[in-house]
Amino acid sequence: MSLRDHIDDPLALAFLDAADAHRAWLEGSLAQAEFEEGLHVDFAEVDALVDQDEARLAAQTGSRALPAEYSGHGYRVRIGLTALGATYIELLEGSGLSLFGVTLSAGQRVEVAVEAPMELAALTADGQPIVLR
Amino acid sequence: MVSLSEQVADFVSTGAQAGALWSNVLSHVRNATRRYPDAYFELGQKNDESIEGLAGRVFTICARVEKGRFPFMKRTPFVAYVEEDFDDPPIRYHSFYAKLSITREILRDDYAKNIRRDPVLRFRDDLHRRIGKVLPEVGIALEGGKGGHTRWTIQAGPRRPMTEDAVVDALKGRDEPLEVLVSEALKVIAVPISHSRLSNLLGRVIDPPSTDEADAGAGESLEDTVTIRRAVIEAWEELGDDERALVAALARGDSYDDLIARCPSLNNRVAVSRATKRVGQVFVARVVEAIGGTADASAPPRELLEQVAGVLLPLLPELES
Repeated sequence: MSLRDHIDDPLALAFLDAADAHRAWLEGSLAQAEFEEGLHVDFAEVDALVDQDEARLAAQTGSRALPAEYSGHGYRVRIGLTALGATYIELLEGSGLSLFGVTLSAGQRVEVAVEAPMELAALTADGQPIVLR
Repeated sequence: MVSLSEQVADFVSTGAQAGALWSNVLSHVRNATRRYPDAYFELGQKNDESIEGLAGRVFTICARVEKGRFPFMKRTPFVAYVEEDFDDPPIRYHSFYAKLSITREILRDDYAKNIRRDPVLRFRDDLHRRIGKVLPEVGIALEGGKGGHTRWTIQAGPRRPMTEDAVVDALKGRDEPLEVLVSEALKVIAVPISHSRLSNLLGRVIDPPSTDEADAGAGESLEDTVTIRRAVIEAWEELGDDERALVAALARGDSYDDLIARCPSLNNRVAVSRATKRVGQVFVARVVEAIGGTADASAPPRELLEQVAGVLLPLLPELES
């Protein structure tokens, strides 16, 4: 029995029409064919990437000289060196930013043994992934 | 160095390592998308912003969205990785690199969306469909090639394979019916080829229409797209299990019997009616809230729902599969 026969809400019927059209369109689409046929997938490369060493992947991206500052999305972060030569991260603007496995509150400075990446990937207090440069 | 699997386990158990894990996801998504052209990215542009947006969606899905298919089985990918005790390679495989990984699923959906809005891509999509009708008439299907998909060839004597550029040069400018071009292409390529690769190749041979035609997506900003998508995801998260199952069943075109087999509480017309009404209201309310203050916010509910469908239907495989 069709689900359509059990629906009388006009909004749901409109959604059903849109869904039917979308499904019919996607099925024969170039997007679906390229996805299923792996047009942009090099299977040998996939094997290598799946088995890659994480440290090598991190090293590929390079690092910045210290001190380095990053900003964006209402946050500003500094990675610097203490007088004793330890690396620290400090949240200069914003609050509740998670990066390098720690969560910083406003103005907080924490010593963490990290290199300064070319860009800083972090999570906001509500879990949104962002990138600071 | 903390491994990817340790980062996932820490993130799932305590929320620790979130920043480090996100950084790792971003690096892998960059790697996985190296070969993809602009057409696969939001608004048809491959740049830092669109790659980060994609990586953010991969991270959000891995962290928050319960997916039905193997190996997730109604768990978020990160939870599934921990419960299945995956080490790094299978996590990388299912999240980023496999042909059917989460990353590539999203790329497919963004590409499908771009095809609808870009006249040149629409032309290539239409060409692909026309080639699909011609192929069984002129070609021979070889099942289960590398990657498990069908490839096409043609009966001909021994030939030396040509590069794709040489094939395009050989066929360009020939004013022939499509079946002749497909047949000639299969002859000169001389090796079995997938339907999508052949479509791309002939898409370079046959000129698309002029791009003077206004782009349907012009004026649409990445910010608008993200705002509506976030509203739709929030609405989805607000729904109960049965309501989500109902939306998915509508989207898939399931029968009523399939739906009530999964959701016995919807086994009468009143229950379905109540659920469909609430679902529509939740989506429309979230989108109105997100775009509040704009002219679009006062559009009739049906128009708003069509806007929701435009975002939700391509997104459902990410949310539900």
